[in-house]
Amino acid sequence: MATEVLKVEPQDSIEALQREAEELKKRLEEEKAKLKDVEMCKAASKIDPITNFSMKQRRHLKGHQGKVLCMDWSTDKKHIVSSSQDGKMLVWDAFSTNKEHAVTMPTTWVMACAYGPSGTKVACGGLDNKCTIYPVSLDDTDISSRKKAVATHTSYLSCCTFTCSDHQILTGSGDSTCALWDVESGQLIQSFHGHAGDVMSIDLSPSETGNLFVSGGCDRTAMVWDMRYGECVQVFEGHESDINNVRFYPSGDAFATGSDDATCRLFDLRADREANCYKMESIIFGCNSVDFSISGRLLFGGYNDHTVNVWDVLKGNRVTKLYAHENRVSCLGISPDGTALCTGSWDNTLKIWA
Amino acid sequence: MEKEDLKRQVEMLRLHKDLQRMFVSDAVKDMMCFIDQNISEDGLIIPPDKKKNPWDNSRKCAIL
Repeated sequence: MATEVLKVEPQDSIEALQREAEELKKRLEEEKAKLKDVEMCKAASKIDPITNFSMKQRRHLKGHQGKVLCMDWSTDKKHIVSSSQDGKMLVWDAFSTNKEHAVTMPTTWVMACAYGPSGTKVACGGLDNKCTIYPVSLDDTDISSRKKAVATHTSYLSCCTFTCSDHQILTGSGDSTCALWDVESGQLIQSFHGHAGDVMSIDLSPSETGNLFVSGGCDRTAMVWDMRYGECVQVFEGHESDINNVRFYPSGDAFATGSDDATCRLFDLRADREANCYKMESIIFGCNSVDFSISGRLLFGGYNDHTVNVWDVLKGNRVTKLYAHENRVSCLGISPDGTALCTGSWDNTLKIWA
Repeated sequence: MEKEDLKRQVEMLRLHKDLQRMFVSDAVKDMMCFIDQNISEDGLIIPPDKKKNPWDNSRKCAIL
């Protein structure tokens, strides 16, 4: 037994640690396996299927000169920020399709952008390894002059999101860490170490306590963290390739992932394991982005084959497939009131669906 | 793997071993309940009236 060996060897020898890690991993896997007492689609078999689902393209946002890489909704349900591979960040009025602000970054591949909860700040970054914050207001025509660099990583910035206020921002990076920053002072509040590969995506828990976030990355692992202590509280494995995107379920009890292995998965926090996997033999391209409808019944996935697949979260079947864009769908997001879906693509445009 | 990383991993795994877990069937029940409570507000499943849909193109006002 490993425990007997541990008594003889110094407890912190590399060998002993490795052995203990393996032993614990095995035991955890056994524990988690016991909890899958039912297939999700069977448990939900009595629920009515979704019929007559229809979604139309309502707006087409044209203005980027390069691949759209990231988008985020403002809490006003009307404005959108998007960033692109040519180094631009645009702020849109999605109703009128007008561009209200344009910022040229000192870098290409602006992979991350986010709206602050108050709707008066946006953040973005990418290959510059930084997260820069810009104030947005209609009277201000040159927001670049009031920019503020907040976060610095040792590799590219892949994702960022404000916490429940404009005062703190959480970032994820190709340096395999996540970090929480104070916006005002630009100081690091907490860093999160644990991923063994590039962090590609983060999402904050929507639950009231609001101290949890999830991250996913190129180590094929999703991790749930407690922001207060910088501690990884749960680890979820199962994907066979990079995780490109993570998104919390609206109740906060679960989260979805989109991966290069051509699947989306649902991981439940309280069962501490995968609860469902969304895939079809005909789907062979990677999924870049996921989000839920506000009731949590639908899961939208944006794929490299230019489509958006809409999944029934409970039954696990595909409800419909949207031929959304003319190149890969790189990002998508449901508006805060749940009335629309925005998709962004390598075809340089964004679309609004409702 | 560096020793520090390994130590951190073992500490994390020890912590995770003692986590309270629930059955998938119970988690699914809660999820179905959440959906039931919120589905009437889900505009992408139950589309709002044309008049109320902010994204309906035919609703545009004419500027006179």
